[in-house]
Amino acid sequence: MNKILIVFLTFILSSFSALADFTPLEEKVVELRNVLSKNKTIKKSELEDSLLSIRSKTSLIKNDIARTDLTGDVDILLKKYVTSNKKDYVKSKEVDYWLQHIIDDLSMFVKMGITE
Amino acid sequence: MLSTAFISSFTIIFRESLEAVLIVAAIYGYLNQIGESSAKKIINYAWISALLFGGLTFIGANYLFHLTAEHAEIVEGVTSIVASLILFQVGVWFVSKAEANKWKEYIESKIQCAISNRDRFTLFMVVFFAVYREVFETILFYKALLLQFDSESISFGFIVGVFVVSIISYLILKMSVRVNLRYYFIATSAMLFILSISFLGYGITELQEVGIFDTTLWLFIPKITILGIYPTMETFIPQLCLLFLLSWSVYNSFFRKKRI
Repeated sequence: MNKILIVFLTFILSSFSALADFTPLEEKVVELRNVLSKNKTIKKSELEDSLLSIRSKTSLIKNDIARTDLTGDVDILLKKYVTSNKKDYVKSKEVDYWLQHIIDDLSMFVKMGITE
Repeated sequence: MLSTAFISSFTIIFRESLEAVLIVAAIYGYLNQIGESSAKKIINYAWISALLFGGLTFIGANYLFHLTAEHAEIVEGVTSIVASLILFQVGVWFVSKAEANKWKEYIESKIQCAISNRDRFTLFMVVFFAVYREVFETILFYKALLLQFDSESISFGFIVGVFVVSIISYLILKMSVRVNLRYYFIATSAMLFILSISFLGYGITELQEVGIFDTTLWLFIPKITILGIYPTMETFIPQLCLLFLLSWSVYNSFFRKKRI
């Protein structure tokens, strides 16, 4: 019984598409991560611009689940690091950590068969 | 070729329900072992209440209030932390029964006195929170899925997902009857502790994301999402505390009494 289950699950998982058309969003996230990797902190205004740019891409996602989830994640980052942040800068590594969550969510959606 | 709708539906129900089903099956197995069939009703009431309450929360959140992603993260974070703490309590309870002499005493005491009301309440709460924490997100996913794909493929994916998870829970229940009682309690306790640590990490991460807790990066800690381990101080220290309490309870159950 266990072997049947393992074979079935392997079949399900291997049938997922590895490609996704989240490219414009991924590019924007990678762009910001590159900026973050060069400095210990990032200016709040610069971060705001980048996050708004990422948000403009998440709002174009066709799938309702992915769009709601990812736009919500970016909104949370905007509120946390821009609107509610009293300092003029943000620690780069901290923002990068949450951007990795967005990348993880994207891979999760691809595994679920949601690709655009 | 499997359709996107089928795969999405299967993945959602499998991923979201597996942990809850493992917990319910482990507790069912425990009640089977002690012959407490009447307490099974409590478990049924708990998961049915969680489904209803989860559904009502979803309706309330969507139609009575304006639910933001932030609110959803907070609900999920708090529910996961509460589930983790109750799960830990049940895990400690199970591990204490794994010690042979204590188990014998326990069985004997049960002959005279059925499972206490406090025990029933704890079992109710752990099942309720384990199921409730997943219902909200599952409904949210399915609602969006139904807007996009045909309901036949979604239903098929849902049924297959429920079937696979049912087989897993059946295997656990079967194991509870065949396996040596002591090993069963050790195995289920280990599973409950791992889930407890995972829920705690996950719950704190949700609250960090919305800024309720700070995010102090400890990048030397590996990120193991499936175990709820994240490289931050705010998640790692509470998990270490839980691990310390676990070690203490294992020591207490298996070694301390023997020395005396």
